[in-house]
Amino acid sequence: MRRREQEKNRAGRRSRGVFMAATALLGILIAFHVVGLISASMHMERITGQGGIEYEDFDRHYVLITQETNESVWKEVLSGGSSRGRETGAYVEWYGQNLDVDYSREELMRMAIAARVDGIILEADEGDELRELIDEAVENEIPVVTVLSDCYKSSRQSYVGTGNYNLGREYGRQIIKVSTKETKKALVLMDSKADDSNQNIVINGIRETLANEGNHLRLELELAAIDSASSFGADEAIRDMLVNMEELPDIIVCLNEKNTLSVYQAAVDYNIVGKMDILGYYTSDTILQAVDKGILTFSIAIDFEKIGITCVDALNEYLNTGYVSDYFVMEVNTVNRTNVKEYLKNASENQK
Amino acid sequence: MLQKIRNRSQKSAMGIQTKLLIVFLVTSVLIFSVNIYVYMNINRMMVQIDSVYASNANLNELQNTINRVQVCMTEYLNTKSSDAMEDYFRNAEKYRELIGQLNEKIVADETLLMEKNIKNISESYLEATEQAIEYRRGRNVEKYKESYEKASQLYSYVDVGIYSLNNKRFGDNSENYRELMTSMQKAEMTNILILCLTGLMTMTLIGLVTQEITQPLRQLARTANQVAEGNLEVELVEVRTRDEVGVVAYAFNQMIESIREYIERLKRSMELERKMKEKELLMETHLKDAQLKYLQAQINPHFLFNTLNAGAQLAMMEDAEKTYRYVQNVADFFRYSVKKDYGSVTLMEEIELVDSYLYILNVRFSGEIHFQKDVDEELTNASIPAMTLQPVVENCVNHGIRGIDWPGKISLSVYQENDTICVSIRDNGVGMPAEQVERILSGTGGGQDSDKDSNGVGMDNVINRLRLFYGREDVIDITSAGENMGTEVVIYIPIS
Repeated sequence: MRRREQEKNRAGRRSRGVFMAATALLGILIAFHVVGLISASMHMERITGQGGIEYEDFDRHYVLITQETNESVWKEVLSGGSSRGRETGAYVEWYGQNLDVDYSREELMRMAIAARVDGIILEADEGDELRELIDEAVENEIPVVTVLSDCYKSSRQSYVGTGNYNLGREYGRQIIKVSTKETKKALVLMDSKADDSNQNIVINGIRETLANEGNHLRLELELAAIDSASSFGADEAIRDMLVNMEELPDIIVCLNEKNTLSVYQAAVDYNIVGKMDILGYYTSDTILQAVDKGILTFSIAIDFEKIGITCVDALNEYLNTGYVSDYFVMEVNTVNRTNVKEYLKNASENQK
Repeated sequence: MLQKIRNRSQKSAMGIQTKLLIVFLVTSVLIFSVNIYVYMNINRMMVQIDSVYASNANLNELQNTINRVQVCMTEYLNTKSSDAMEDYFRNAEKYRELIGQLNEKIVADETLLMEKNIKNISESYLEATEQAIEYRRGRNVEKYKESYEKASQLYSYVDVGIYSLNNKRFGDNSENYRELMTSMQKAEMTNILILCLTGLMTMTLIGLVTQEITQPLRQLARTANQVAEGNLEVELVEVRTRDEVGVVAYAFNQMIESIREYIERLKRSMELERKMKEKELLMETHLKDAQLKYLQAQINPHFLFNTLNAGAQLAMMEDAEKTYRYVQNVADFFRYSVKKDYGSVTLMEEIELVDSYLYILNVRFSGEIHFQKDVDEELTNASIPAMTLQPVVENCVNHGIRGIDWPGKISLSVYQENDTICVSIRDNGVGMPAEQVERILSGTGGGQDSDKDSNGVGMDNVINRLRLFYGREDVIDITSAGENMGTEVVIYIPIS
């Protein structure tokens, strides 16, 4: 009798075991389904963007219009402007970057006016068409801030830059620093747009500095217009020029990043490093390393992020108050072998 | 009993049919749901894939519409036809609707911001076209040309904008499409995996349940085979379920137990019967033994009877009363011995034999033995083995009172004590030492009576026959108070 009881108990336990196993299997299956369904739908929503991704909303739409669309300088300006914009509710768009057609600044200005943006940060020049467009924008209540190169005659709200005359003076001082009595010729590479008064102001700055502070030198300042309109044009032109020159200049002065890089590369390629002093512009990694190696004698260092920040601040201030200072001058520094380590360190820290 | 179990099982547990039904249902639902799930997944995928390029299609429509607006405007400006104007307004309206769906917020997403730019430029464009048409109507040639140029310029911007956005979208969508296809493949694999898993689990489930059903059946069959081979000492079938199989198993167990009990009973009764048979055989052997002894002792009894009868008749004719009685008694005594060859007799017959015996002895020994009887007549019908009392009395005479120098007495009394009839035979002879009593009772001392006056039946024979006859040990008792104090032999006859 007792044995039968035990058997019964054992049988009961076994039945329960089977039941439990079946329930567990069912549970696992159902869990599998649910998890699969949820993860699949999540995956789908992620892919098709139907999951309602909430983008950050901004109150203002500023556009940055530049002649070059690929220079690191402008990337830094944009980066500074964007970060300040994010803090103050403004989105800064590098205008024209997303379009499949390369538009000129003038066309981009027209577009920006038609698109009724809230503010324009423009790499201007003193050309009439741009001036008119700036005026049109301002008429349409779109404030315009010129950056790095000004359009003084226009009704733009403000200018943010280094002050070209100051820049020229800095170049001048550095030329004097590297010159000796034997130094005969300094070549300044200019953009082919001869009518660009901004460049002229820089040249004037150099000239005047040389005349005032370097009158002990017998230095001849030569200008070379480099055609930068076509792609790779500047680079080719510089190489041609260096190869075809009867005598290399003692000093070569570059007024923008692109020319600096071209000269540096050509100097390395044609093995003329050390035969002349190269004065550069900007502080990209390549340029800093070139300075460190002594290929470039020095380079102009400007805090472009700060320039971007200042542009956005100027637009914000104008839109908020209706007034803004019409001139923001940024500091111009130079990088040479003595202080290049510091810049390299900062650059690597920024990268991190 | 079985009915009860069956009823109980039907009430409280699932039958096999229900079990199978449930298993079938569960597995069907499982497979069905998995199929639905897989189908749903694929369907969703298809919808998603379909929707991938929908944004491109929308942009194409936008582009076509602005194109028509531009064409209609140009046509109107050229021809001033009312049809063209109508078309212009219709398309412009449609275009307005379409750009209404575009994003207008300033957000940190390139495509959405492009939408916003397109929308705003489009609005400027529409204004310019309206102005152009207005001026054309007012025949302001200079102005409408100016507006037309502006509109055309803006049109080209919008066109490029839409084109660029379309390209970008197409790039994104292609990437999405590729991802979708990849995940579709993954989903396919997952679905196959789920299906396989479900199949596996379903099979496991069915296996478990059917095993639950068939296992007891197999065990039942095994046990039944063992029983059929004659092994009743099998282990009982484990009753695991309360379904039909459980009921059968339970009934089977009951049956096995009943058979076991029955066989046990049968064995016991066979044992009993065997013992009885044995007893009977022993009894017969003893009787035969006694009889043989008797026959050895007798000399042609018939001749003896006839001789004795002739003697008796002679005594009668000579009026010798005493002689006649003596010879008659002797004849009776021997006739009894011949007639009652074996089996049982009544107590009365035995007592009569003792009477005859003692009469003969008294004649032989000239009345030396005083015989007293105290018999309860109602008890004398009891059965008793033949030739029992006479050997006892003979013992009393031969070993008790022979040779004593005081008058020998033998008394016989029959009385009832509880449910036993006691037959007491007492003498006043030399008595019997305790060791001898012990020997006689244990059957080792009584031995053969070698006396020539004996009829040949010893005490141990008597005791053995009494014990066999009544089927118990306690049939006789011998007591003696000491030397010359006499002996008493009591035979206990159970009242059946």
